[in-house]
Amino acid sequence: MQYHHQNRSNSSPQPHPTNRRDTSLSDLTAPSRPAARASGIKPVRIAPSAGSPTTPNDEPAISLLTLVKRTSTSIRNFLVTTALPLAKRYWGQLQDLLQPKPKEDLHPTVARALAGPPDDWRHPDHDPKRSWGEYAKEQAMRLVRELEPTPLREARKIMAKEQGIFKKLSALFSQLHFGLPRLDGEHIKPEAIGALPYEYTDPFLQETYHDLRRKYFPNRPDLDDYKVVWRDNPMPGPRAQAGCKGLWATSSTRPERFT
Amino acid sequence: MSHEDAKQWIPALVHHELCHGALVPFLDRQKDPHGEEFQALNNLHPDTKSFDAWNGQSWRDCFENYHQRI
Repeated sequence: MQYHHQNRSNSSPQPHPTNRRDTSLSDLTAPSRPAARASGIKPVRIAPSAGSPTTPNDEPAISLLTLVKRTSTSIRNFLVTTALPLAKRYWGQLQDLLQPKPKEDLHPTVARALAGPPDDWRHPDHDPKRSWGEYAKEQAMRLVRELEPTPLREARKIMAKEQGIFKKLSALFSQLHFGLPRLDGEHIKPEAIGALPYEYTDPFLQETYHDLRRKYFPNRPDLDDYKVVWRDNPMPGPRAQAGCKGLWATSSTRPERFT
Repeated sequence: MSHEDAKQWIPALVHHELCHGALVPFLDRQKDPHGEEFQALNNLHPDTKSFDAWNGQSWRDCFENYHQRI
C-alpha cells in the first residue's frame, strides 16, 4: 500500500515540521497528521505524475486509479445507504413533482353553473302567481309614467341612484320583447311599450342553441326555455349604427336578457 | 352576422349567449358579465378565440363601449 506515515519506519529521520519541503497540494488539503491520528482518518496523497519533480522526502502516494476506486465506492455507499432509501421514501412526492400539473380547478361559480341549476333560485321580485310579462309590463308602465318627461340618459342616472331601479328596468324592457329604446337621449314614450322590434329566428338558430346546451351544459336543462332571436341591436355604437341585428336570448320565465 | 362568411361563427356566438344564461343565477349582477367566470365557460367552445379574432371588436369591447356612453 502506498499509505505513508502510519507504516513508516521509526528509524527513518522525521523531517522537522518547519523544515519540511514537501508542499504538495495533497498535503495541504489532507488533514493534519496529529488530527488524522486522533480521528483515525487516513490521509491520502495522489501519486505524482511521471514528469513531476520529486523530492527525497516525498512519501509514497496512492495511485489515481485507487483514488477513483475509493471515490466510486464512497459514492456507491452513499447511494445505497442514503440516497436510495430517501428516494424510496419520497418517491411518491417525487412523482408528483415530475408529473405535469393538472389543469387548474374550475372557478367555484363556473363549477356550480356546470353542475346544475340552483334548486331554489328565482328572481327576488318574482311573484310566482304572475307571469314575468305581466309584472314587467306593469312595472315598466309605472316607471315610464314617472319618468316620461326626463331624457333617458338622465332618467337612468336617477334610477341608478334610487333603489337600483335601473337594473329592474333593463330586465323589464328585455322581458317585454321590445328592446331598449336608443340610448341617445330620446325620451321613453309610453307608446313604445309593446312595440315589438324586428325580430327574426329560425329553426337552425334554435337547434344550434339546444345542441350546444346539451353538449356543454348537460346538467342544465333549465336553460332550454330560452328563445334565441335576432333582434334590432339597442346598444349604441358601430353595430347599432350599421343596423346590425343583435343575438338575444329571452326566456318566458326569466327576467334577464343578454346580448 | 347575416353575411355568408359569418355563418360559421353562429355556434360560437350562440354559445356565448348560452354562457350568459348559465351564469345568471350564480353571478352577482353588479359583476362584470364578461368576467373571468364567463370567460372560463365561454372558452369551452373551441371556436371562441377564432370568433373573437374574426369579430375584430370583441364582445368585451362592445360592452365597455356601451357603458362608456351611458
